[in-house]
Amino acid sequence: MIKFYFFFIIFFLLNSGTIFAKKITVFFRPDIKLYQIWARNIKTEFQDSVILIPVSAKDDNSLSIADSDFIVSFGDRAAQQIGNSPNKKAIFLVSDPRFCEKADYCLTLFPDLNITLSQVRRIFPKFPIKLVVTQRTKDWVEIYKKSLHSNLEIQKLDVGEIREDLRKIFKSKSVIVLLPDPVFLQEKILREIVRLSFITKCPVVGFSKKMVNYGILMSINYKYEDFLPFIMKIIKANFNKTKIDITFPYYVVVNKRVLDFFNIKIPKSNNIIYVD
Amino acid sequence: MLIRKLKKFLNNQSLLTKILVAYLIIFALYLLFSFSLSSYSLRKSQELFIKQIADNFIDSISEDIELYLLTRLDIYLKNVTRKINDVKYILGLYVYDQDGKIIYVYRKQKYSNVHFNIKDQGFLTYKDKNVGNIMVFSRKIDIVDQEAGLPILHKTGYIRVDFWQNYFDLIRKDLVKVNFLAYILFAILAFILAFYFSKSLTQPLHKLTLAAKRVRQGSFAIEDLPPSTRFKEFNELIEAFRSMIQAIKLREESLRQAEEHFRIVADFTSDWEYWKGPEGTFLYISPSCLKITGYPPEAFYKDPSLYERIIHPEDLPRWHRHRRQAHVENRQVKDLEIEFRIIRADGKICWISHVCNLVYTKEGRFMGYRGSNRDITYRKELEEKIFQTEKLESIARLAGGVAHDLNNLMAAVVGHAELLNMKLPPEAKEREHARKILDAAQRASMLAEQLLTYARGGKPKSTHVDLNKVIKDVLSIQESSLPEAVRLELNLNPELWPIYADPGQISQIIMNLTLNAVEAMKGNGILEITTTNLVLNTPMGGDIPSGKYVLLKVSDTGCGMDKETMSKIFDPFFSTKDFGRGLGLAAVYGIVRNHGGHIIVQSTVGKGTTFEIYFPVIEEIEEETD
Repeated sequence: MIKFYFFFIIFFLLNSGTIFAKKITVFFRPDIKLYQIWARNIKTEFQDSVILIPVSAKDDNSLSIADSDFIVSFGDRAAQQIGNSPNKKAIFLVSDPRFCEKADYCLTLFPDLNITLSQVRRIFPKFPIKLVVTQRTKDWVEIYKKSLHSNLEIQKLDVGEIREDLRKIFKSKSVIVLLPDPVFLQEKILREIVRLSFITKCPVVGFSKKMVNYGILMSINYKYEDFLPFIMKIIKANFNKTKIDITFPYYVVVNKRVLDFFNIKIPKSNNIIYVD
Repeated sequence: MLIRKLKKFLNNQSLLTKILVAYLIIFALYLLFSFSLSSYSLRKSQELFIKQIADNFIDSISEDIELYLLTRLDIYLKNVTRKINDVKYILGLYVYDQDGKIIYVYRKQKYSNVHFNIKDQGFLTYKDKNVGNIMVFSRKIDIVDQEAGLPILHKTGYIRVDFWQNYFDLIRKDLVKVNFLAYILFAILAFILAFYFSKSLTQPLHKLTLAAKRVRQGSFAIEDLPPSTRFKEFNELIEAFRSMIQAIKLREESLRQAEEHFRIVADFTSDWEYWKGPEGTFLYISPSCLKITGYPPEAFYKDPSLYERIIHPEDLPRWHRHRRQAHVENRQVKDLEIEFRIIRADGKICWISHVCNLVYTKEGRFMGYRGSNRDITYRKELEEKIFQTEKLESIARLAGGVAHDLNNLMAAVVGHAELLNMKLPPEAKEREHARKILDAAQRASMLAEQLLTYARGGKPKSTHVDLNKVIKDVLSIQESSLPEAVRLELNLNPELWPIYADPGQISQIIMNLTLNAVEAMKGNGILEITTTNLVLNTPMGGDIPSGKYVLLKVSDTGCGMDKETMSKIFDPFFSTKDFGRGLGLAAVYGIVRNHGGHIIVQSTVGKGTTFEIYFPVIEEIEEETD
């Protein structure tokens, strides 16, 4: 019995040593609470193997990654500062999909545009689609250029004249798809979008549940609480040299009252959530 | 009536009191006006204020309500309910759809609802028994967007907000209280300011008044004037006052000097100068007044009528005529003169030479009388004496001439009468006629002799004479003929100086004076004869020069004489007796004058008469030989 315990301990130590002997560096924006919580959870999980490096929003200096075996980067700013060729194993959580080129594993905060567009086309098969981009998101379109259909109109929104531009966008009847930009989450702009949506009867597809709560027809988004377990899973799989399915679930959140207003029927699906 | 009483009350009050009373009146009127209007204006203001608040509140939530009406999502009402909860004065919110159907209600507390036609009524007030007055405001919410060529959408709803009017009523009441307290506070502040301001106004005035009083009392200290104030006008007034005091001081000084010069002159004069004002009071009386009248100037200042009272009653009518004349004629400023008598304080009569004129200013204003009274008693006495002397001299010359001729004629009569007597036989009856002629002629001669004695005094056979001895000799002869009831008192100085005189003529003087005295006493009284030595260092009575004299005084307690009698007693042939010849006293006068002496008579009717005869003492005279 004693021998059994002894071997068990030796085995545990050897195995844990293979995992925790590697160094993990986590870059995060301390001013973003969600990133901060995730970074701490990783530290709790992997303890001394983890180095937490806060990244300043204003600091443009390159970050040192020489001593790291694995890099975890939360946010576009951290991804930007890590550099182009980290030559390390890395997992990036970004909003700008263009940073994904530098990482082994990349998670975007918002679902892929292809996913969004496919869902929109499924629900509004006959509606023309207007893809609204801003200065921040206009270059993202380039990544999905090949997959974009002809029935898609890209509308650029100038933040300085946002109300005027919005009126122009809502001028003709179509489904308005908003590419993720925090500017759309501003209450004032959100209200204006909702107002125009109801007046012009143009359904709007957003990227956050909050938008749906305010009266946008629907949003296609991830659940943020799913991200951390998934990141943990990737880290462990990577150090254990096991394969992992990196398919990440997304959800279609629909405002039922707005749906009634537009009198639209949505095909049944498992990932649709209705809010009232 | 009240205003009149107030005016009367304020008439004699100080400036400070007047300002404070004015302030109180204005404040009371203001208070009355404010309180009567403030209630009304506050109610109106409150209504407008609530309407404005309601408008503003509905404005602030209209966007949310508009979105709610569009989306019917409660999320847009969260902000609205939060705002309603934040303010006490809103009781609840109603949202109506375009058909006027309530689609949302939010009420902070329970209160009764009222039928409200949201489509037609914009405003309503009603009363709830629990919360009091409620004001209902509503607005139509139109959702129309035609901008930028957007399709038109009409979607209408209504919003209704219930306001708690009692809340504003309480604020209004609090405002009234605050207003009232503010009034009181400002009143006190204004009162203090008014008091301070009034004090700063009246204080320099009070000090100026005090300074003016001091100036009136003769103090010209400019240090007593108030210091500079914050008011330009007061500073100018103080400066003017300072200049005025300095000017008055200079004028007073020059006036004082002029008055001093005038007084030096006026007080020095022996005349009684005076100035009587238009009101009849004396403005100035020179100190000589006391010497002339016996009354101090103060007696005339105190009682101006004393002036007329001391004028001799016999001269008063003349004095009044003079005064009337002065008024009539004196406009030409001409000096008018009059001589009159006054009765001095000691009862003596004093002759006054009075000159006066009326005083007028350059502008013709009457300033009173200016008068000058000179004591001319001495001059008057001298004049009287001169007159008497001249009169007696002329009488004596006349009497001497008559007596001389009469004596010569009588000498012839006596001679012829004696011859006739001698040639007539002793038994001849004609001898009796001759003797009577002789007696009559002899009496006529004696009369002539007496007349000559008066006129020339006779030719005195002067020698050193002991007056006392002569008196005693005469009295030894007359003593037996003196009535028993007449008491003779002799006060003879045993050390009497001898005089150089004719003893016979001196005897005649004594005899005549004693006889007259006895006759005046009518057999009852005191006859006093006094002799004394007298040295006059200064002339006496105007006509008795200084020197050594032997005084013979013969006094009686007889009937005395009046002045008229006294002025004639030395006239020859003047007699008050039925059978007197009137030559006795004329002879006395003549003898005294021939001896270089002087005679003074003092007499009071009913009391007696005193004759004083001054014989000069001639110490070294060679005895005349016969």
